Amino acid sequence: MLILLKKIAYIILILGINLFIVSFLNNKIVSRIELRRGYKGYKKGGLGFPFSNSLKYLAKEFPFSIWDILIFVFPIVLWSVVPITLNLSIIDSDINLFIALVLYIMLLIFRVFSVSYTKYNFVLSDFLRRIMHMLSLMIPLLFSVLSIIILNKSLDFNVIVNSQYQYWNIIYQPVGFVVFFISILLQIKLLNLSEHNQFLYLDNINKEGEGISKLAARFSSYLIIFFLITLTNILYLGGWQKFYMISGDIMVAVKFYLIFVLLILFERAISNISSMNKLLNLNYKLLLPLSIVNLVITVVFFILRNVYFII
Amino acid sequence: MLRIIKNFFINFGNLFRKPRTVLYPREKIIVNEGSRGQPRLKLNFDTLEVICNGCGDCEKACPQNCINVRREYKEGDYSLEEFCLNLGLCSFCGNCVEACKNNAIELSYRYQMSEYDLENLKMEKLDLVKQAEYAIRDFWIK
Repeated sequence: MLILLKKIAYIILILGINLFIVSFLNNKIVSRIELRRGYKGYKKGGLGFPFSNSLKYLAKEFPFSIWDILIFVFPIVLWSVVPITLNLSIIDSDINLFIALVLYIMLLIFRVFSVSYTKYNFVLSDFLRRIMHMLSLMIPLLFSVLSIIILNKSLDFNVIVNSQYQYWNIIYQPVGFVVFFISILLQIKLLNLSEHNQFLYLDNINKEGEGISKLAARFSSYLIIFFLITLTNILYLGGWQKFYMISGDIMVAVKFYLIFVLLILFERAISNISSMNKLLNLNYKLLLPLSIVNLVITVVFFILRNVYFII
Repeated sequence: MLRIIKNFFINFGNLFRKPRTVLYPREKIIVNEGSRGQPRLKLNFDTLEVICNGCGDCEKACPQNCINVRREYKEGDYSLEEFCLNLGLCSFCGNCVEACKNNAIELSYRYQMSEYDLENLKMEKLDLVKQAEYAIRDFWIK
């Protein structure tokens, strides 16, 4: 019991610290990309910015729905199955990856619920359209994850990481990695972290004003990004494996921030993709065929390998 | 695809470039050459008097009617008696500079002219002569 509480405390501490650093980095990098200084009026390099920003949301009065509570709680629940580093997950199961993906899809659906909900009405057709659009963006990601599952013959994060002790999965699955990366890039674009594309769906554009619901949405956005980056790290980049003399935990942190900076830079680079149709075009015309080809190649190699071993 | 990669490298390069924005009261930028600031009256350095003889060409050329000139006849020659400029109306178009035949008026580089009272924006002859220090472009470094 004590170990469990200790683990929960560690996870919350790590998430809190990363939330602070990432929201600081996000604002700083986005402003520097636009050759702005950022954080005007904040002292000591804007270190207090994330705090004051969250207080800004709390100070505004706005009624929040049950979905706002769910999108605040669910990202934390997600971390009970996803290990940040070795043994830092609460539920140890053989199907951790499956549970994590299901929770993630549920979280995204809750996000759409939260956006579609307004004070006066609930537009069902709009809501269904949004869910279908968003889930279609998940298909290439799921195909590339399936390739990894076939490659490592497991749904357990620990087994997947341990199987990469010699070579990372990115060497076996370069196309899968590219598809996975672009797919999470598109999903991060939907979350609208840089507050650049107000047209996309997962931001609270339908709601008047900002308040505690906006805070919940931003919190879940950051935790979704943490989840996607951690998933990339575990599935393709060796997870918490040692890298020569560098310990696994440090490698996790290094890879986490490297992927985060890359994602932010690429997200700004594709700022001309400014509508849902363009996103879906990219998804169906580039990512889906690539992921299917990757899956087929993996399956063929898997069968051939098994046949070879049988012979 | 190539455009995305190009944009990515531009973004990456921007991370190491100096930001264009400045924290205004603490940092200031050098004003661009040829920018139009507050008009000033030039002095003749031999006699230490204003070059302007009060012909009134600038008053006629001013589209905002913010210049009032009065001259007096003294010892067989015209000289400037009063030169009023209302900065609250001035649009810094530079017509007065172009209209002046004696090159007696020019635009300085002074751009910080905020005042609490509108009356302070009404400049007299002596005020306009005192703007000489703003004729240098990087005046704020001192």
